[in-house]
Amino acid sequence: MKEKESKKTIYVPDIAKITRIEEVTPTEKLFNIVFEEPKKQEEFSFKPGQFVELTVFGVGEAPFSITSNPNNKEYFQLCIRNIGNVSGALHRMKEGSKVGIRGPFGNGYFPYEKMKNHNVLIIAGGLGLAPLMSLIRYILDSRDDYKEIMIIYGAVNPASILYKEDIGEWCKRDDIRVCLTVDNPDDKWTGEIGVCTNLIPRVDFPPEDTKVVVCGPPVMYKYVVQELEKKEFAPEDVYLSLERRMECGVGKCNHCHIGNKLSCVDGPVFSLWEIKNLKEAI
Amino acid sequence: MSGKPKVGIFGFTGCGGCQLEILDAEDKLVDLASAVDIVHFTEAITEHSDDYEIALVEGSISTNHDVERIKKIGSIAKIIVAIGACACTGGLNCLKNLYGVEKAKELVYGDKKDWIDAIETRPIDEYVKVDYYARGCPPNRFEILQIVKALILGKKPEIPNYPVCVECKRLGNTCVYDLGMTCMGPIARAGCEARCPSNGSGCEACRGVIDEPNVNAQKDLLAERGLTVEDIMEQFNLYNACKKLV
Amino acid sequence: MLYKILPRDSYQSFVENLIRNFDFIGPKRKDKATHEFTKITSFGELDLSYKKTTIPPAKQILFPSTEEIVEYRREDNSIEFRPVVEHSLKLLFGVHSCDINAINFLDKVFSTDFSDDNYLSKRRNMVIIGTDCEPRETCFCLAMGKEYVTAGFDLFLSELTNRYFVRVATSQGNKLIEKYASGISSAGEKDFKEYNEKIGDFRKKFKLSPDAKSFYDNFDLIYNDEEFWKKVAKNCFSCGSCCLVCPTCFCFNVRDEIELNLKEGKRIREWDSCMIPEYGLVAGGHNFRPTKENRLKQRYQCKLKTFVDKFNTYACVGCGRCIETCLANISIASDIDSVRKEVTV
Ligand SMILES: Cc1cc2nc3c(=O)[nH]c(=O)nc-3n(C[C@H](O)[C@H](O)[C@H](O)COP(=O)(O)OP(=O)(O)OC[C@H]3O[C@@H](n4cnc5c(N)ncnc54)[C@H](O)[C@@H]3O)c2cc1C
Ligand code: SF4
Ligand code: SF4
Repeated sequence: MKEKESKKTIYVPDIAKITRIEEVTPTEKLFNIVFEEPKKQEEFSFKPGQFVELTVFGVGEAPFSITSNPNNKEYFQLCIRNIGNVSGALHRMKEGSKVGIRGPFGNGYFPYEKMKNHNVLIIAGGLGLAPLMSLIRYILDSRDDYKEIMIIYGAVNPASILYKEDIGEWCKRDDIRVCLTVDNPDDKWTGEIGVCTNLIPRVDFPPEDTKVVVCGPPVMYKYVVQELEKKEFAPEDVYLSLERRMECGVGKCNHCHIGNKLSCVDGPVFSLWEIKNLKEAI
Repeated sequence: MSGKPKVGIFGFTGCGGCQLEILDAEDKLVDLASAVDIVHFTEAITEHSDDYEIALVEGSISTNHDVERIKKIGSIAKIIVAIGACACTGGLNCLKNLYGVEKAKELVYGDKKDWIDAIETRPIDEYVKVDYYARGCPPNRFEILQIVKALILGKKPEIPNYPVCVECKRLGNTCVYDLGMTCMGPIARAGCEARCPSNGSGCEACRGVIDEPNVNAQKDLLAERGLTVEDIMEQFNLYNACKKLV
Repeated sequence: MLYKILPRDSYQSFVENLIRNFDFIGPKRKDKATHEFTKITSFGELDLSYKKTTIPPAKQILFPSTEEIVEYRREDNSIEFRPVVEHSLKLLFGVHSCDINAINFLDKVFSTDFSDDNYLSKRRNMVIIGTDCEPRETCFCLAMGKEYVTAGFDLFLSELTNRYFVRVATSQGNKLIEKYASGISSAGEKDFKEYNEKIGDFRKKFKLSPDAKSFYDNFDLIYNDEEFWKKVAKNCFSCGSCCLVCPTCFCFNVRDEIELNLKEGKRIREWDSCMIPEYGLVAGGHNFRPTKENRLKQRYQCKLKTFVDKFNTYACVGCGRCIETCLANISIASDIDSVRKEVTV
């Protein structure tokens, strides 16, 4: 007997609407999303570093980090790179289109509570800035709770820099330090050149009073961790978001396992100590 | 892709069975016809047009005339889907390459061989960029439909790149090796719902091989079951002579 | 647990009653090489002497190779998603200890963190009656500590002279035997004695005895030994068969299928395997496990280490199916031993 009218399962998305689309780079767009059900929208709360599973009708489902401020209750925002089926279909959608959303998922998030009263070092590579954006927006809301904040962000080239406006705003403030670097500069680029790892030696935060968060492409972690270890940051104070292939987001399909951890339910954010000896982690 | 995409369906050297397979998708065909505009269909309609976005191409390239035609299709179509073993891997037609073209012409056409415009048989991707492959001999009609649906939705069709063994296991088949036969399943590309093993005979790799076939292990396996070098060559070459695996 | 005795001459009528009253799934000969668990309609079809089933008994039912989990409809700009949950009552008869232990493992997987109703609804509606077995060449459940099962079934029948020793693990099982079997009595001293002897003899019959504990301890040491893993995985086809036939493997892919009218669609999950290259591939082309050595190593880690850390149990019950199915002659049992040998020389 197949029951179709029964209660919702963990695989059934809620319907939501894309209320705004903004093209930020040739390959990335921002999507503001609101649940169709007002009650659902009201209840929807998340922590920086968590993600949702988004369905495009007829195409499929894929995980995306929430990039908006958790304090923003009106809508939530995703920053999506056009790279495959679901992301490609999303990029062709118009404002007002409907999508399916499950989540938020992930028990490992950027530990903003633990960061309070400490220096915060944020290291982002490429699209890795998307989930970190949620954290940055959140901690800037209560800037006084944190000591110094430094953001190191590396992009492939100037055209691919995300959140240019926000970064411009940060640069104007004297309570955040921003270090921007690109791998491939163009003629107009006057800033740093090279990978973001190169900038870590300049960090002068005392390791015992600093929390570090990192998010970027898989190849980046090994080198970032090497540099951070040289600076003697304790592995318990370094947090990394490890993304893996995900088919379900709820700890069943097993694709995102890293040793005995699952990126979707145990992560995606892990402390460096947690994954120190896990094979294939970094 | 927005609106109704225009689809051309073309045949080259083959048995024409692939186009029949498309026609055979009977009940679905009505839906197919309403979802796309079929402007060129060698077996089904006579009306020809040179205005199409998706070309479904069947058959291998075996004559100079074929070469010209496929290049023309390549210059018009935005997306080319190869359909059937002949188009995808060269198929059985490639066996003739093993004899050499001249020898093959002589065998088939005797003293009229010089009238024949035959060249070494090749899969179509030797001449044009193929976007997707609906493999097999005959191809799987549901897969053809699935590719067309995916293209309408603007998504990349999910075409298996795992071996036939996966489908056998999903179906719960008894491995034909356990029944005393041999099978190319471990390196053959799936997507046929393990058609041959499900019917009690070994897979012949009519859909070609997976991206990273363990050719040596397959040779070991066949040798272990008592096949001679010639037998092994034959199994590898039946549908995949053009790919020169052995 | 209750311990009861079912007289041999009540056995057939008991089974026939069950066949009559339940959707009865049991082992039946499929062809000269295998048996399969399938619907049984008469006592004669049931063949409890079965040795080999390609696919484990419960996996195809609780976690089918392809399963619709969500269906959806679109009308203009409105979308509707609905769960699809299957939960008909089924009775599974003749399941061996290793396979019941494997079901217990899957129960844990599908109920940890989030509850998977697609699996659990079917599980809740499954009656399981276990029966004892004879080890084959490839069986090593004893070494994995899975040759005996203490929960996860309703009844477990062990054949003694002229009678069956019945372990009753649930009240549902108790009701079944009370209702459908005649001549039931409580097991006494003599019965226990014979039963214990039987289990003792059974444990002596295993030919394979890989030392999984040593694998657990030494995996770290051998992890980076590329030569070793190249040797072990040399002939692997990356075909995934070893996972697909495994009673504890549960990895799946999810894909959407849509009708040509582009209005109705369904979301389907289907068995996947970590041995298939695409498993670790992400959009953009990065593959977390690009080589067959990476993948085999990962599979062994998952079976023999990951779930020891996570659930305090091996994710291998030693049923031997993967060994029998592998056309490259790769054997988890001998590779456990190879690891031990490699690190002790
Ligand atoms: C926790 C997490 C957060 C992420 N956050 C973002 C984000 O904020 N912005 C963004 O653009 N991308 C993000 N990604 C990557 C994003 O999930 C992939 O780009 C996306 O799955 C590609 O799906 P597709 O259908 O477009 O590609 P296809 O290649 O068609 O992928 C098919 C399916 O494979 C799986 N898959 C493929 N690649 C990935 C991947 N990299 N990670 C996980 N699953 C994958 C998905 O289930 C996907 O639907 C995140 C991934 C994870 C795991
Ligand atoms: S170990 Fe054997 S069964 Fe498993 S993927 Fe490799 S060849 Fe296939
Ligand atoms: S890993 Fe092999 S022996 Fe172990 S439970 Fe799975 S199929 Fe059986």
